[in-house]
Amino acid sequence: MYLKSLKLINYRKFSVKQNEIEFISSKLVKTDKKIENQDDENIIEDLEVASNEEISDVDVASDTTLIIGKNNAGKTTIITALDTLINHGKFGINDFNYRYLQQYLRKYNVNDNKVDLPFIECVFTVELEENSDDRISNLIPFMLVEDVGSSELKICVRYEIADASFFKSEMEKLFSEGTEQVTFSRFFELLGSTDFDLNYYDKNENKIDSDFKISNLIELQCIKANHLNSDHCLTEAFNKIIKYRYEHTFPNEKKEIDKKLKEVNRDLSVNISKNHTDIVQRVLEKLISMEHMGVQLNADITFDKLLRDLIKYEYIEENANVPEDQFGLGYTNLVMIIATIIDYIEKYPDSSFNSKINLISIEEPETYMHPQMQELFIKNINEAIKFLLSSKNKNVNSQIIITTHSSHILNSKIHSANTFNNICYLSENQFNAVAVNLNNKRIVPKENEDEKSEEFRFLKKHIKYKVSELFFSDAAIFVEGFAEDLILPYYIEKSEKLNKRYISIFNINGAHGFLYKRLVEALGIPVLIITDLDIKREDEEEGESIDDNKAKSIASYAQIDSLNGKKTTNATIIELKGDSNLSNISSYIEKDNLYLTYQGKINGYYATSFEEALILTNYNNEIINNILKELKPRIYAHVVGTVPDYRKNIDNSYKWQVKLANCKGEFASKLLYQIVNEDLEEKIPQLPKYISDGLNWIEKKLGGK
Amino acid sequence: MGLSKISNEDLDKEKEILNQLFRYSDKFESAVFNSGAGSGKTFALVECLKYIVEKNRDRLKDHNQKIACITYTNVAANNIKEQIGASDIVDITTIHDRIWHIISGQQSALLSLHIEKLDNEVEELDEQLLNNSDYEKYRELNKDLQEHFFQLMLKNKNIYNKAYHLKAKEFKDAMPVEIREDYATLISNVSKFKGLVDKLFKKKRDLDCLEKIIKGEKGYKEVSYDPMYNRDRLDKMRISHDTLLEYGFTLIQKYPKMRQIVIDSYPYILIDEYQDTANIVVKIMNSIEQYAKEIKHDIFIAYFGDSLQNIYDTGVGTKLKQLHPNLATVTKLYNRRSYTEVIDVANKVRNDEIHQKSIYSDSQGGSVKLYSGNQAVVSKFIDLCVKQWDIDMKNPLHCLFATNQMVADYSGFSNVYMAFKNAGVYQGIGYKQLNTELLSHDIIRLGKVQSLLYRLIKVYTEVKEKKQALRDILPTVEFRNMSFVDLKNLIIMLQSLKGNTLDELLVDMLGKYKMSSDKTYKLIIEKIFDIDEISYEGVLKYFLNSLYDSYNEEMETKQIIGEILNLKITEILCWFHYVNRDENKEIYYHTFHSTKGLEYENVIIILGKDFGQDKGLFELFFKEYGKDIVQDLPKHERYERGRNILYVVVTRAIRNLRILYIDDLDGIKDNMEKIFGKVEAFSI
Repeated sequence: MYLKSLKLINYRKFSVKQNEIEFISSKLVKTDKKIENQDDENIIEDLEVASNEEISDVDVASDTTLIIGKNNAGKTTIITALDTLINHGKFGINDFNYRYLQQYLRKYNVNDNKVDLPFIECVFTVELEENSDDRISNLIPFMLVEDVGSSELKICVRYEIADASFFKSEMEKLFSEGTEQVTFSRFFELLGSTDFDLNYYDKNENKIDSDFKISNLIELQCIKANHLNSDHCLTEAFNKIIKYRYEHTFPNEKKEIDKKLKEVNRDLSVNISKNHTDIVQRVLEKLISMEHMGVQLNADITFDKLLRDLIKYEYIEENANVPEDQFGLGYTNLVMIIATIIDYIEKYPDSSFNSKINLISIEEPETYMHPQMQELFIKNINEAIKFLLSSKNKNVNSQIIITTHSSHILNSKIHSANTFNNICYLSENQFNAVAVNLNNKRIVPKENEDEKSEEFRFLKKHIKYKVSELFFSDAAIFVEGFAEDLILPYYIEKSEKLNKRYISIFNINGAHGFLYKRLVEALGIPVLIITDLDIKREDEEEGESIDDNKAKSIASYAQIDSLNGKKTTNATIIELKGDSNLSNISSYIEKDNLYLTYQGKINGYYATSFEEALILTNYNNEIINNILKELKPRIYAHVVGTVPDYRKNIDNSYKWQVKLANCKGEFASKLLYQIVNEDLEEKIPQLPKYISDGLNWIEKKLGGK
Repeated sequence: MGLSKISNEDLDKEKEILNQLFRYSDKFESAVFNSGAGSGKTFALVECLKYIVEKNRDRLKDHNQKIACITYTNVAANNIKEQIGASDIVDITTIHDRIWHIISGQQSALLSLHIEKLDNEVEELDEQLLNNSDYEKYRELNKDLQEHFFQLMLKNKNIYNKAYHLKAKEFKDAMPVEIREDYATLISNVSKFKGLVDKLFKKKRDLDCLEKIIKGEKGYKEVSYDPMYNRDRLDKMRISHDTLLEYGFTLIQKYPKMRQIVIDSYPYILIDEYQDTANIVVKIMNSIEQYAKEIKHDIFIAYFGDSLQNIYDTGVGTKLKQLHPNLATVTKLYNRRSYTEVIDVANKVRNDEIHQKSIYSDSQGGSVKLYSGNQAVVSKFIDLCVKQWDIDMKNPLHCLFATNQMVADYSGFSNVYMAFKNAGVYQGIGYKQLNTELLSHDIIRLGKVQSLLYRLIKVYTEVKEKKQALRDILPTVEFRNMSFVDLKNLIIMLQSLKGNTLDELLVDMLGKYKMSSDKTYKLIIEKIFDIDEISYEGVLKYFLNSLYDSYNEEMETKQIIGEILNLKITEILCWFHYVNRDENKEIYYHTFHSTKGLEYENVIIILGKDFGQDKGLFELFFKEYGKDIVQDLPKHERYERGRNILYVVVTRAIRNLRILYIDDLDGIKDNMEKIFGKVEAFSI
């Protein structure tokens, strides 16, 4: 059995929606499994096993639940909830979601005798495996007859008011002074003096009256961030393990040592008493009257002391020993985590069946680690546990939960497990935590396809370098070209509202924004996709296909002033709009947290690209004109004439688009150079309207907070 | 919709009545709250609880004290719990649970009581062996022979148990030659022989138990009590409900410390339905209060009820103030249940100084009518009411019958009723017990065999119920040590138990018990049957001995208890649901006793001159109604009994009440019309 999910209701940042965190079962069992030659080259190389030979392996990566999110998103809250319930057995009123309490107070009706009472609830869903030998005595109180046929079981833990009628009468007193007197702080004070109980319920909402405690069923070992509290913490950690091993694995050897220690103590004591006790006694006699007192000096070396003081840990680095305190913090941290796991596995009972669920939580292991080390973290843990188990004959039935805000650890999880499964993404919405449980099924680009689809593989590959941009940003912008990618950050930096936010810009070459659609939907962050209309041109009006680099010499560069009868070739537009018809397209498409924008009519014409839209918008801007002149002096002269008529740029926008096709990069970098060095605000070109509208949308979305 | 508006004046008056009670609680002056049926007794009890909680919670919490609320049944306890919500300082339970809670911690004292009780039992057995004429032949043997005989029987216990159910001759044949020849005088009368052997075995079990207690063997260090079982198994260290009260009383009488424990743990004790509470409980309360005064500790004991609603012979009824003197009295005249029309009739039945009045200003709109007819028109009469009152699941009809037989017939378990009615123990004077032991809704009051059947059908139905919590089927940790697969197999096995008749079901269950190696299954079966020898034969013997004091030894057991064994499971299920009241129906059928404390929108009472075996009870009531018969004590007592029962049934109705009188109206018509209004003949 294992913990399948945890739902937190009204607990701290969690409210009643999107408050369930899923966990993966992980049996750290040595399995002889065939490692297939993965054709996905993204697996971290070290993990890759080239041959098909049968090896004994532990797959920690895929059997670990990763909880990720920005700071203050609620990662620690989840572990705290588990830790509080399991290891301390009670909540406090500070564990309430304050917003819930505020709302509760607002809606409180003194005259309603049946009024609900404030509560915090945690629902544990336990999965029972069909053929497991685990003892379920702890679970039976929560089971119904029908649960025998299912594999899931719910255990509700509710923190609720111990005496309902007393609470109601106190509330009555509070309200009797007039509703306007009832402030939150007074209500909270009342709650503070109210007794609460922790009760258990089955899924029929019937209270379980036995003396069950969640700690009977679940054990939790926390490895906290900042556990490096002294220079010798490693020594201490390993001492614990060695002591345990002596006591339980090598009791005879320990007896031997104890015997020897006794001898040493005796010898030393004899020696001390012979050579030193007299002196001490005499010195003391001079100070105080020692008539009735004597001094006995004994040696007192014990096994514990021996371990604590006599064992020295040094690390061997290229044949040179390095003492513990010279060791890098990052390594110490990693070794500490592993030491705790060793300790855990050592102590894990040897019996063949369990009646408990074991959780190990590792909080923010990335502390002190440099990025590459973070990337290898999961692999290192994997190796360590594999090694530990190889010398043992026990199955450790534990679920590992890692909370992190490191994109590298997330990356290492995604790519060593080669999946998006078992990642719980936390974010914030209206001050409440929002938990999203990712899995491949949920984010494969096309709903009815599976993990083997080409699009999914592309997504995995592409995201590798973009993980942090996506998972840890407040909003994301997908763009199609180099120019947007280069120039947009400047404009975002200028916006007072947006520059305080973390907004990632993704340059998705080609119109592949829709591949991310389901992933960003799942993550719930606002995503702006800036794409091009990609109007399909009939032969006669096609100047030069943007898809085709071989220039065709066609004399006229027809401007498009109407979308009637026009179709788009843009996959993202087609996907989101549902068809390719442009005649009836709105100026943008908004779906939940997704906003798709593309060129509208600018100064009478529809632009084909960002550059064209920029030129149309800023046809008379000095900077733009200078750059065009510099890049293509002959064409420029031809377009605007000898006495420059900037308006001509409008009618020739498509020509510019075609002519710039081979030097878009240069155009963009020159533009950026110019505007960065321009001091006068009014001289800086304006963003085309469709883009500034999109940015406004993001502002609005983020402004809600 | 009536019964919704209460004038402020009435509300204030009602509040004032409650305030009287509250003041007594403040002053720690024990009181009795007397109020007629439907007066919101439970309402008053709940308000009183809330008042005490609000006023004293912090102090009680500080001293780790609680308020004890004692109800007559678990159903009533749950009802009150629901009304006051969660509470950590109010303990609401039946008297049995409360007493067990208090005394279960005093195991050493309990153990000595238990030893005493076992000693008494052994003494009593010895006394019978010495004096009872049945065992004359046994007494003629010398000590050595007696011992030899006992050892021989012990050796052949299995043979004896197997042969137990055979006819006399076959039984003798089955016994070992040695017995037949050496102890021919003993075995010549088979039933006396069985009686003797069973007594000897019982004595042996008791002595064994005593020895184990003294040795301090595992399982013999503590006395246990389980509300599911209503008979003593002293040798298994388990006591019944009655023994529990007895032990409780003795402990409290014997040890002042026990009294102080109660006083200091529960400075407030509220007792619901006091009139039905056993005398012994009131005695306990009285001695507790006396002691509290002695040691100057505070205690408030409040009794809630109505002596007029005492319909159980065992209840304290009007004797309350004799057993517990110096109680202050608060009386409430408001009615919170019924429409005025019903209240008026109830007042007339009551015919004393308590004259109830509805608290609602919109209480007009009920109807009460008396019809005369005969047994044959009963179902027609019910049909008519169903039509008239638009009866459906949401607006059900409740029929109250004066005879048990009719309740059983209409509820679909006539054969169950007949089978038990015909059993030996319910003949003659024993018949009085049948009502309680078969038709009680409170399972602790069921008879031995009925209680066993109840446990059996409970498991039988529960495992088929999807939403049933497994913790009820597997009640303690010892049932639960298994894997998920084990559990699946166990449930499948339990679900597969079947039989058309009780006999078939027993064969299946006990056959599987023999064959199965599933420890939990065995444990469940053992808990159901709760007898020494878990086998088909053992169950038959238990049935036989529980239902018959004596029987024709020329018959096989299967013949004697055949009627019970051949009962259809479907019919036993009807009985089970009747006892549980757990089905949603359009029409419910009740005995008069079983409706106490409940209220129904629509009520039909089928009444005759007799009340069960109590011939002419109601006839007498109607005949003597309004007359002064106090001088004629026996008559007066019967009159009161008839009145109490009638008062209870009449006051169940909220709105619609019909009485169908199915006997001759001669000589009582005038008085009946005085109470119910004009009688109308009902014919088909």
